[in-house]
Parts: sequence; C-alpha cells; structure tokens
Amino acid sequence: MTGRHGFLRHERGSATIEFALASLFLFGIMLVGLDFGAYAQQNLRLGGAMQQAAVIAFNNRASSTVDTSSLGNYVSAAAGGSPTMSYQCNGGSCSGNWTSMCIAAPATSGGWPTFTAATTSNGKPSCADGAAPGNYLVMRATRIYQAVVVPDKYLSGKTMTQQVIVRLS
Amino acid sequence: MVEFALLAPTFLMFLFLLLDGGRMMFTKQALNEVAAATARCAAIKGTGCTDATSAQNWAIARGLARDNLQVSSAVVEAATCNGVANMSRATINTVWKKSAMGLLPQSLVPSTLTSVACFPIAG
Repeated sequence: MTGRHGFLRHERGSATIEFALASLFLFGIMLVGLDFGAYAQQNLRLGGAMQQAAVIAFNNRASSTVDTSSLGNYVSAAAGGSPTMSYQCNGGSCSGNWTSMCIAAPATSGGWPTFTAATTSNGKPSCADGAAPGNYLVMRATRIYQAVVVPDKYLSGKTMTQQVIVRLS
Repeated sequence: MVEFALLAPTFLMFLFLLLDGGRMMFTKQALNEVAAATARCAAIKGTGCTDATSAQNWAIARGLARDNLQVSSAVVEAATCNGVANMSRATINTVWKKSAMGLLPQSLVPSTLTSVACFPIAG
C-alpha cells in the first residue's frame, strides 16, 4: 500500500470493477456466437429462397422466356439482403431460343456447369455420357456476409453462394 | 463480499435474460422450420398434408415431434407471397412462456411467436 496514493489506494468497489471487466468478456464471447449463428442463418435462408425460385421457374417452364427479373425479385424478398443474382440458360444468356444441350460438371471447382450440344440420332437428341439432354437453367445467388467479430476466413469466406440447377424441358 | 452480494443479483439477472433470449431464438428458429416444412408439404401435397386441415395437424405433430414445440395455431392456405401468386403459405403460432423475461415490461416481450413461410405450389 505504501507506493500508492489517492484513488489507487482505495480497494472498495473492486468487485464492481471486476464485474465490469467480466461483462465485456462475456459480451465478446456472445458476439462471436451470434456472428456464426447469423452467418449460418443467412446462408440457409438464401438456400431456401433459391430452392423456391427453382420451383417457380419450373412452374413457368411453358413460357418461352425465363423471367429472370421476377425470379431475382422473389429471391431478394424471400432471403433478404439483396443478393446478387446471375443466370445461365444452357451455358449462355437467358434470352433467345433454346437448343437442347448436355450438362456436365464445371471445368473448375465452383465454376458454372459446362454444356455441350446433344447428338441427334433417329431424330432424338441424346448425350454421350447418358445425361438427359434438355434446357437447363442455372441460377446463382451471392451475398456478402458482414461479420461483426469473426474473421472472414473462419466463415468459409465471407461471400455466401447458393446455386440451383433446374431442367425446364 | 458485500459488493458481491450486491452485484450477484445484477449478474444473475443478466445471465438468465441471456439464457431466456437464447431460448426465445431457439423457439423462433424451430417455428420457422415447422412453417417452412408445412408450406412445402402442403405445396407438394405430401403424405399427411393433402388439404388445409390435415396440413394444420401435420404442423402441430411435427412441432411436437422434432422440437417439443407446442403449436397453438396453424393456418395453411394458398396465397401470393413476395409478389408471386400460387404459393402455399403457412402461418404458425406458439405461445411464448417467458421465465426470466418476466422481469422485462410486457411491451418488450411478445406473448406469441409467429412464423410465416411460403413455398411455390408445384404444378
């Protein structure tokens, strides 16, 4: 006690100070948990909205054009947070005529599926690998997660991506 | 020691409010899950939810079976959701039994939790 003077000499109220410090720690721990929870929740919600958009696209399959703007609006409204949407119809843009194509795995991990023309024998299109030739819509939604405390690398990258593939015809 | 006695109630209140808040989030999440599953089941006319009444019962049974969630009311109907027509919409309610949240004013704590989910009717 000899070296301390004035305010520092008082030991009353130390539990209050400890409580204040411990509360900060407790809040920190809680924020980390909330961050992971919010990330998982937003990602799942985006996935759910994309599944629903796929069914909506399939329901409108008789239409000659794919109404990408209404699909995008639906995903935004259902998932929240204005995700960025991109679309490919048989590997190309979604305007114009469709030709039946064969779908295959992306060339690179996380890339878009690759499409090759179907071969026609006896007037019937078919694919060399046995896949069903058809008109495929690929939709992808990305959304940036704004982490509060957890570094992005622990949230498997902060960009959430959800993709659906639906064979329209 | 005296300080601890004074601070302990504050600390415990803090802790139990956190626990109760977590419990509320868990319940809300369970409710969301039931609503989404019910809307989907009614949309595809799955086994056990071929019409509005059976879908209600399906929602109640699922809430109980999966999360011990007491669904107080469930409404399943065809509706327009987010600008898209021909959707199956499930509105699920549960009574929120507060414990530590009883410390908070009634206006801050909901007495009923509600979740709404939609799924396009396949066709």
